[in-house]
Amino acid sequence: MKNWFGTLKALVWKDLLQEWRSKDMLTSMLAFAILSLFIFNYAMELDPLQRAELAPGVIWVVIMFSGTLGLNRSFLAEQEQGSFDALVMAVPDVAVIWLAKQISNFLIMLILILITLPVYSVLYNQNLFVPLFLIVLILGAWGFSAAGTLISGMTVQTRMRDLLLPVLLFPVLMPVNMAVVKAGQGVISGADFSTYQVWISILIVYGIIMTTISLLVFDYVIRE
Amino acid sequence: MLLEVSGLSRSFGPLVVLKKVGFSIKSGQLICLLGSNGAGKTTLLRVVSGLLGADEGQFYLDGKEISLHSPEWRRQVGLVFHKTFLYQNLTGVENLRLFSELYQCKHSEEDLLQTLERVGLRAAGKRLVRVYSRGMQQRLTIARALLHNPEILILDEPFTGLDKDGSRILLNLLGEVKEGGSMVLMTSHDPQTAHAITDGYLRLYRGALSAVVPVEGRSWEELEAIVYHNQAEKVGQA
Repeated sequence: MKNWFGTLKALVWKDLLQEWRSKDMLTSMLAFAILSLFIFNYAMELDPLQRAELAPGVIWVVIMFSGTLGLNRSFLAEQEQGSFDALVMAVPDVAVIWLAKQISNFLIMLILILITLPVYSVLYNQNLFVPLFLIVLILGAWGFSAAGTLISGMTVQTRMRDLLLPVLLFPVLMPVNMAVVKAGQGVISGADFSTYQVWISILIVYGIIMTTISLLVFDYVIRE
Repeated sequence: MLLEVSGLSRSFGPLVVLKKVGFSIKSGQLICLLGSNGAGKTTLLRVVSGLLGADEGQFYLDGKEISLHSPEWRRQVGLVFHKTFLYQNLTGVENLRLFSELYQCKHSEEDLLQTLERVGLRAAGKRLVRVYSRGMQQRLTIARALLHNPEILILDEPFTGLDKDGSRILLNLLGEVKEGGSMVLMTSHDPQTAHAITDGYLRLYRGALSAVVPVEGRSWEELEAIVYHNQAEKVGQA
């Protein structure tokens, strides 16, 4: 087990160091997110009440689309020089490759969230740094990166991966999308916790199920 | 250690790439796999390395049947393929450190620098791999493949991209690997280069083994005639 965690740590460190140097994922994700927020700002002139209601949806759509851009590039380093094969040969359990990539993608999503929220707050004059809303977004990001990393691992070998990833991923993400938006609306509008508790539970269960399934099937997915 | 492969077949859809291939290789041996483009050499290497499953075939290690797809087997293999398997945005040392940690080798920084020295890359160890030339990347690939002292080293056209110095370094390393008791299985379009340390040749023709020729002290010229004559006979039979 110690070896397993050592391997996981080495792989996550490798992904983050590579991303720090290349900024392949973050640059495209942040550019897309900030531009989208600008466009939403100009396209929808809303009163404060409507803003509060729409904020979770706008934020999550921006984060999800930006995250999909990043996911498309997350296996790029492994794809370019075939190093995925070298990883498969070296690790004691292939599932650790998925988990490391998932954690890296999740951490990059967190950076995206932490940059997107203040930009939204400035543009829309609405503070979204509410602890419970942050937790909702973090749970959503975990579910998103769990499903996204698995499907990205499936599509990376295909010629039409840019198209295939969203086509396969978005239907799988429907429960996450609904839960983040509904729970977020509850938090931002100041509703009673019991009214949106079920959506937070859905996010937690989705994250657990998707993580478990991915750990179990990743070996099969990459072999096929 | 003795690895025996028998009845190995592999197809991709309707295309049969390997047909009932069988051979054996033991510790300290270097076997060179010959064959024209598309003969199935790379597929054979990928199956033996455990990266690709076989449709049929048995694999025995010291007489005991094994699965080549198990992590235990894969972690005993060192691989050098056409692609370098290197991370371009990591330095030479960082690439080696990553794989050292994955193989749980516990190499110190100095160990890694010495490994780089064996392939003539110590001075370039702190540079990002993306600024390496093709030959330097190939040398680093070889260093990475040897990092965990594999039981079997599998190389697909390892001399590609190497200059004279690089080829000489690789030959020395292969000689050391053999002396260390590891098996070496490699393909080459220029088998003469490594003839001095080669123990036998296998020739693949359209996915089937057409010649199995031990060197037994013979010159490359003598063996070339046998290998290619043998192939012609098999083609005649087909």
